[in-house]
Amino acid sequence: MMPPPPPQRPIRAGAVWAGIGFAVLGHLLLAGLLAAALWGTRSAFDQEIIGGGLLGQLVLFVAVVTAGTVLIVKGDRGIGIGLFIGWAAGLIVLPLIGFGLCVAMISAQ
Amino acid sequence: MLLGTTAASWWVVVGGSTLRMLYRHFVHIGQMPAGTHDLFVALGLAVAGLVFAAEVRRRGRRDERLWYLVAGVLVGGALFGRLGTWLQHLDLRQNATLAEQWAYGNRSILSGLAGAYLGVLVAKRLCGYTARSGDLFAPAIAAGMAVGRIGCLLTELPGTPTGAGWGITVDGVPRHPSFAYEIAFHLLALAVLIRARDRITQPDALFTGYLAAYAAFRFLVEFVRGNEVVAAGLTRPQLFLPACAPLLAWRIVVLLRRHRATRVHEVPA
Repeated sequence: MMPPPPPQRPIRAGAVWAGIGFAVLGHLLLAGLLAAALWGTRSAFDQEIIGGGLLGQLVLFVAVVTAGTVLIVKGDRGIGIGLFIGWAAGLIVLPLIGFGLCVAMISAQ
Repeated sequence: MLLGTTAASWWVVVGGSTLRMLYRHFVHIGQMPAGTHDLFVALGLAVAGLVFAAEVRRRGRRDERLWYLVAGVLVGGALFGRLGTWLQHLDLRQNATLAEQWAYGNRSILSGLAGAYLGVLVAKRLCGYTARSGDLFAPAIAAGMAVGRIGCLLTELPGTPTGAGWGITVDGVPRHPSFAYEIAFHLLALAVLIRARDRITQPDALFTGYLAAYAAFRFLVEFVRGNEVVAAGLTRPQLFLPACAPLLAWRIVVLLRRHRATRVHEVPA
């Protein structure tokens, strides 16, 4: 006889907010890298930088989906769900920060 | 009231004095420039979150699986909002690549809403949440859209030319403030939802009513929005909405049947 699976731990709001924080941090890191690339090349957006930004977003998406799914199934569900919420909210909201960083970088050149 | 724009800013004339409003394309938060449109989208999202949390508390629906639903709404809304306008042309070669759409494509509220709806359905299936949840989201969507649309009003061409006195003058041409109409609609809808939520107890009735009203309103307001007319004198949103109408009609039929069944059970034998 297989032993019954242990009862799932309740979802803690604090863990959800932590997951949201991790995902938003990922978005901010990407925006920072994009701004640093702009600063380094000292040019306006070119195809390589935009391509790099898109690749970064894809990597972040895959990381969030993988880590979020594993955590929801096997680990702390709160952090897993928070990763998804933070990624999606960041995608909607964080062009605000990305735009600001890029404008600031271009203006400073 | 006269509202106008220069290359850098919007301005409004009230009673003869000019009051300079937000920068058209970006505002400053501290030292950091930020997109006006994105700022109001962010504020709209925050307001929607607060209204949703308040509604959950008011209805006493404290279920941890609601976190899954929130994730479903946001992930579905974010993905479809960005990619929903991707397949615009029947000739697939005319459509942008997925990467181009992601980077530069139009964002769409309608496809975002459709994605959010789909996201909730998927989330419910995954976490086994069977209770109706639309009424929890309806006031939040109305409040969030009312705030988010301010960004559109301040940064996008407001509508078609009009001779009405309330037109917004852009580059010397008075235009319909179509986004202001939409903000007024959502505020009115929010007031109605709040007023009716204790009287209409049929689950999801408020949400379905709100969706139907918004679909009808959006179809009509598109005539003065100034979006590209693509076929039969209709814009893309006007073609998208009738395509979704059967789903909405099905929802209404299910609600009516459920309501009738409830009334039959309530009649004493």
